[in-house]
Amino acid sequence: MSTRIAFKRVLVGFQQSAPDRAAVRLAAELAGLLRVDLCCMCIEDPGLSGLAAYPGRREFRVLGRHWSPLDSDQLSREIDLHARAVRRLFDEAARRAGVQGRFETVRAAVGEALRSLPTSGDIVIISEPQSPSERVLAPFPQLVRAAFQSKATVFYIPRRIVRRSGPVVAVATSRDDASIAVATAVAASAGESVVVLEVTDGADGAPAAPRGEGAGVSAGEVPTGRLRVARRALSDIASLSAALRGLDERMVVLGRSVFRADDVAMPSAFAALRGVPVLLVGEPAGGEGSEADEAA
Amino acid sequence: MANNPAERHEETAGEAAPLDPDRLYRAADPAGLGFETTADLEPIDGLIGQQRALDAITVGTGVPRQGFNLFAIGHTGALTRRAVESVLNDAAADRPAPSDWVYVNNFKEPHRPIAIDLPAGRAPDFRDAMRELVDELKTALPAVFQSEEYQTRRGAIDEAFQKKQAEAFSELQKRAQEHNIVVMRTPMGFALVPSRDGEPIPPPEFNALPEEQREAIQKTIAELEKDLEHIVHQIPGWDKERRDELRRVNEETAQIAIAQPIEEVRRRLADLPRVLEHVEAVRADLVENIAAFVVAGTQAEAGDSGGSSGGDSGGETLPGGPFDRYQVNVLVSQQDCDGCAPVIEELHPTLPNLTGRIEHLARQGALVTNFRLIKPGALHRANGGYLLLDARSVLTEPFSWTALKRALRSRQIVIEDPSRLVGTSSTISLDPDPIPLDLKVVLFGDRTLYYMLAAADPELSEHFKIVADFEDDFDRSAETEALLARFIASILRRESMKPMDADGVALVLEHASRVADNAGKLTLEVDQLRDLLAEADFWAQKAGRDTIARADVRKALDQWIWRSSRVRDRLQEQIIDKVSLIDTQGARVGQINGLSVMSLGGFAFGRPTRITCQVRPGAGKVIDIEREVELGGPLHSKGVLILSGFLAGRFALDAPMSLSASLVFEQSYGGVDGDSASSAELYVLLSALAELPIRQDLAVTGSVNQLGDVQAIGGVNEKIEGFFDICRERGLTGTQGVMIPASNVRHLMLRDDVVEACREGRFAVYPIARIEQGISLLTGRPAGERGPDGNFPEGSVYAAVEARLQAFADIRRSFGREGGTGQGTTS
Repeated sequence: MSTRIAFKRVLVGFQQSAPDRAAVRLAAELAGLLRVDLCCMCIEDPGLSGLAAYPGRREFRVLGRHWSPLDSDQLSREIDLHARAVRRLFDEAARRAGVQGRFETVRAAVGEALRSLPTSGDIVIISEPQSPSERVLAPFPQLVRAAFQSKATVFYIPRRIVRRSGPVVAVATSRDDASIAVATAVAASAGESVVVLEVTDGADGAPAAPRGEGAGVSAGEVPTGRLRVARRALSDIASLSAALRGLDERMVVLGRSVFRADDVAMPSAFAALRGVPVLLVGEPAGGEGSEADEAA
Repeated sequence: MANNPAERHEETAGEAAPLDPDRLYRAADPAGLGFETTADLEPIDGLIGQQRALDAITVGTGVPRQGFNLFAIGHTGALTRRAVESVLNDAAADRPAPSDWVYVNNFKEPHRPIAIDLPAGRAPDFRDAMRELVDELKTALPAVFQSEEYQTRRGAIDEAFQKKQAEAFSELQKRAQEHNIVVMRTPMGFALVPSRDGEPIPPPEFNALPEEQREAIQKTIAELEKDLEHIVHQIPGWDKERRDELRRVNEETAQIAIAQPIEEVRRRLADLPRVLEHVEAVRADLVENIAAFVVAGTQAEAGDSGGSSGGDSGGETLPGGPFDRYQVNVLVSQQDCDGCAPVIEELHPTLPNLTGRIEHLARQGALVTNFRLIKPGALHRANGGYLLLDARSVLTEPFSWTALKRALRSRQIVIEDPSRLVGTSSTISLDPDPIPLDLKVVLFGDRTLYYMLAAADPELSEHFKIVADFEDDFDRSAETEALLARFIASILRRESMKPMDADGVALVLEHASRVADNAGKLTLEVDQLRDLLAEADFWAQKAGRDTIARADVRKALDQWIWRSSRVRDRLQEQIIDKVSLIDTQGARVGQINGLSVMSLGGFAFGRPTRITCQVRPGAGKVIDIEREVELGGPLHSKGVLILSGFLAGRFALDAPMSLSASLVFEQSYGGVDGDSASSAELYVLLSALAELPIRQDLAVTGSVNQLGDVQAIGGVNEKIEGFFDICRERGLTGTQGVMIPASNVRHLMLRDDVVEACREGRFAVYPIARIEQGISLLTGRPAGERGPDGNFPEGSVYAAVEARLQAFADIRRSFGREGGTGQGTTS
């Protein structure tokens, strides 16, 4: 038996950076695979719209590389345009994936919005910006931190994806690790197989028990393979990545407990290293009880 | 027949007498053919009676020089063409199979595709090798570029770039934080604002700060802005370094990835230097354009076909795909041939069908093309062999004739776009490499067309030096009848018809003489015979016979006449009903039955026409009314003018001709041409002058010269039958008949009913050699011969004519005298 999380929606949030088509598409695809709704939050940070109120403020425009005075009307117009572009992209992705889509505009600081809105039945999409400046500068770091601190499952999309097909890997630290059920559900919908990486205290690299045995994981009709890895492989992302070598996975599902609770950089670094999205399930340490239920 | 000198004498001298019925039709002897049915005969392949044309073809196919192409003229129907094709196939067997030709992409100048020739049959191998290469690379390259090794290298490059930027921005952010400034991302760029605990200070709070503090913050922000600007300006340079490094890694990876598949292609086609040259060009281009494979591979994995409009998804690649540039367009291949040169017939020689064409695909509203859309024309397919064309078709297709001549002169095939030639082209096209041309062209056409073309186009003789002039007929003898019988057997067998018995074949042979319009010839219009055989086969089938009998052939002939004779029947009906006035008995001055032939849709029939003449004193002019109203052709006018010459040479030798005569074809409302009625016109003129009535139960055909010799005409059988039909309808009297030139006797192949009527003495055919014979028969008086006293005998036709002419001269002289006194008028 494994813990199954009853997901309700996939939540993709956009702040003022340029909307990422690939991220929206992947979010819609995930919603389709899990058969849940797709919800888009367009976050309008009041701090941003208030920038023009500072005396003599100006912005450095990337396009044209010049300084331009901050005008409140123009800023509002650009924020509005951004919201419309996001909505167009979102609607198109939802239509193509055949999922129910809902679009919301939220007026709140980015961190605040992500800390308060998602529930444990949500999957929050975090798409790493292509631009290093966007990754380093506000509000993306705040967005990531808030997402990892929220109750929601986090789907972290690295800026470069190297594979779009292959097995779904579940890194299971226990027999009833929620990652197994989630990985199985995704694999079943995508027509892929599942590889369960069982974290043990024994020797690493040993083959796992045959299907349906060993860890006692129910895998349904999805082809499932198993590998065992020593717990020390979780000590750093390079070791963990090495454990997945040769699997050519399309996605990694793992529990939040795999990484240190206070290190939000590790999941993103792991996703970047593997070049595939990472789905972080479970609540952060110290969180309230999840809506997880027991699967038969 | 008239080949006997004694018979010839009979026909050219003395009084006209009815022709022996045996000479009205030359029957074939079934027993003499020596078989029961055509199944007993050995078939003949190829042509019969065409030695002259065959010799020409031999020369045309054998001389390996420019311009020695063939122009086959005559009745070159389908069977003849097939026979010529058979001869050419034999010649083609002795020629080596020509090269295969392919078009490949020109990577340097894509609008000029490269033509490559390969040994016969190798083009498909080249095409398959390249297709397999592309297929393999479509799988292998994405795999290589998704491999961990590559991704690690690429990731390292990206990471270095990202790290450089991230460090710069982190440093900026750090410095900013030290001064309680936050760098924010705006929709269009970056902005720096004062902060507290990492969050922007609300503007009212900031504005409430002391001025010195605000100025200090502004100063700090200004310095940080410079740093930010500096970083942003560095990014393009870093990015270029990243791209260069990435390109180098990509090229290295691609070189390694494609080396093995390319080497396999090289090994497979190692004996083809030009192909190897192209393969190297492909290798270089692949390295430059590896992204197309990686993107396609990624899309394929994602199941995304949107946007990929090409046809590279299947095993058989269709044009228009992203990998077209590496494919091979096999223009012509001898793979499926038996090692011989090709013999190609192009039935629709439009310019594109002749020289090839460049097709286009619609892409987002625009027409685009590439080398894969080059399609071969007949010249490509026949290159190295023989091309058969119908001359009329070539000449009636715009641009085709000139394009053919250009190709033959330049000895290369240039694909020409008709829309460009007329200046209406509005889309991108190609300028493919011309392909060297080495072939023999055989044009088929009728003689008129050839002679007209030869007169109008001086280049004809430059390009078509050999004329194969096909005979229309050949001499009829026992041997040639047997030969044609075997040919008939060949047609029947080849076309899966029933065999024909000897009686049936005899009738076909007789019909062959009738078609030849000559009892001593057999036609070589084999297509016409083939049509007859096909229809006879049909009637035999209807009659439930296993072999085609004479009755079936007769039925086929009768049915053909029945189907074609509606107009003839209507015209005859008008004569019977006396709407068209033709007398078939009695006698009348200045009126005679002439005969003409009408040909409608391949069916010819004779028709009697009343010719009348009026005479009066005048200036010696015979007026051709047909000519005056522009209904008479030049040959007809010539015939009428000859009459004046005849009269001038025979009568009124010592005085100017003082005659004015008018001749007319009564109830003729269409054009009249030919001189076959000139003897009839002379008879009627003599009748009018002599005031002697002419027999109306006779009809006349034949031309005449100034000396009074009656000359041969065409359509003699149809003319006799035309008058016979009218007489038969009205009831044959036994005196009726037709006067024909004696020299036409050899052409007689009359219908059974006409022959039978003649045999029974109810109708007659009179061979006439001299006008004197004819006028004597028509008037019942001797023509007369000038005696030693210079006069014609009393009571003769000519004596009466001369007397009348003398009277006209006297009248004219008397008018002349009156005119001299100023009292009369001139004529």
